[in-house]
Amino acid sequence: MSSVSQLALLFVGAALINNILLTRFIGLCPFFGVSSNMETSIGMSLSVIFVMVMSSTATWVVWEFVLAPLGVGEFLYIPAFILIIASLVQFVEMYLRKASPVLYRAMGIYLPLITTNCAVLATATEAAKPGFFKMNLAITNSAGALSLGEALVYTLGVSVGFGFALVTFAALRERLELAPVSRLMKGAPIAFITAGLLSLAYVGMSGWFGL
Amino acid sequence: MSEETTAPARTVGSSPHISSKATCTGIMLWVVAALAPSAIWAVATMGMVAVQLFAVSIVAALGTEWAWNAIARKPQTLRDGSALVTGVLLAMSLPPRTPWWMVAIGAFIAIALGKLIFGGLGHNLFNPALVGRAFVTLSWGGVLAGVQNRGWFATLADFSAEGFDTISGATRLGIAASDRAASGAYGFDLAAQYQPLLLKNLEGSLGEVSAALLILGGLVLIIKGIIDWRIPAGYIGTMGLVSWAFGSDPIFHVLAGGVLLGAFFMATDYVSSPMSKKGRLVYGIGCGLFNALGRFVGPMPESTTFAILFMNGLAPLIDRMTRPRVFGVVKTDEERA
Repeated sequence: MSSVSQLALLFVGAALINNILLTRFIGLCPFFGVSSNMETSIGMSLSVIFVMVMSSTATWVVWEFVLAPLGVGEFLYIPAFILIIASLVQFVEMYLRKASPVLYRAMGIYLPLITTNCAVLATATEAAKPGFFKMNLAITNSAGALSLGEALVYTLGVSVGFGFALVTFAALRERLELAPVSRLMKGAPIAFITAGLLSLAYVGMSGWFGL
Repeated sequence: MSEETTAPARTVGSSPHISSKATCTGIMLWVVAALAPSAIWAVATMGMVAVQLFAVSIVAALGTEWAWNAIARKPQTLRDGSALVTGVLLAMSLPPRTPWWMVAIGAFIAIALGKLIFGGLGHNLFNPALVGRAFVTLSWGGVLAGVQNRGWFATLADFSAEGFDTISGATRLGIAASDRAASGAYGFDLAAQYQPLLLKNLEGSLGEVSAALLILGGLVLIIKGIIDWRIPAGYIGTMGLVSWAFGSDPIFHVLAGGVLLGAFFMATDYVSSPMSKKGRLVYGIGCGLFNALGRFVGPMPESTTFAILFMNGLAPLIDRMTRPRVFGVVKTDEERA
């Protein structure tokens, strides 16, 4: 069992110290795709939090009760996880459109965009499959797996860190809109340079708390 | 044009209506003047080593800006003085015996990638000098750590022979960090270090030579209204408070390392810090918190560079969230939502 302080470290480590966008560089397509606008970034961040938590829960359950007992997880986990995540998100999108139009309008259009996103798959795999969780915290069991509660905290941390980095970056890019950047560098090139400089700052957090 | 208008009794030009004598060059020169006591004292105590570091950094910074503008066929911007400030700050943030080519590369990165690529002064998102310093630190961190007491041409050879064994130099801050990691206590008296740190300190970066002169320069800038007191106050205050909360000596932690140089001269960069007053206080506190956490829970003895870069990155967001209220305007539904 893990203590509250360990869970807090797990969250901070997942959100900031090992930020999925700026220190691990996973999921860069939505990072550059939607960050040119603050509203879309916030919508995307909320969707990512929602989808990641949901898909990690689902993959954890499927690993624990289906893949692992049948002994097929080692070679089936990627197709299985992708199938689960994609279909689950599509069902939820349909349900949301019917049941909660407000929520659907806030994040509905981003849901299909991230169903097959690498960041979602990576996080779901790390949360569910033993041996994929790499943070230096002695909370995994002997097989290297997280419990369901820890997996949820971890996923929440990753997705909140994703949203934080995305919204920070969107604010920076809004300021860049007005800058007289050279024609050659306008748009994506300067965004990549900005992201690189921002990730320089995140390097300063590497190794905090030994994470 | 045959349009006839009656000449108004008094012509009112368009805004701005209040003008000030402050110019960009003037402000930049004041910053250089405020840094001058520390720089002169560094040269006086360290001699030619410091002269060379300053010379390489300033020449490389000015040269990069000149060459960039010449190649891009843009008007020369050397006269605004910002490249000079970047060169001086970069030199002061590096150890005195840093190899000259590292300094030159750092100054090039600072000016080219830190400032000009974003469209020049006023559009850089991060403090240029810190971009250069972060680049040098992360590229050759081991060299910089070993560089303090050796000749610079021997450094790379020494470094490759010894391997990556440490990232901290034997500064007081580094010893304090390893003492804390080893036993949770300090092997030397922190309070006894106030005087050398304030007056004459020959370790660490060039700008750490005298905390007293840095404070003097910072106070001059605050009194002249060139920098906002909220950023250094928030930064230094938080630094002290968190150090105290971690059971260490707050005064030692404010005086040692890059906190004073960062708080007075780097975090206060107009372009990369927030605009609103409340935002500046939040920004300063964030810098202090990051810096202190970097020292107490991180693997490196110092993290001023990364603290300020991190908060530079957050500055536009802070500005958005601390936007002052506009009075006399009815909110639209969209704004209220």
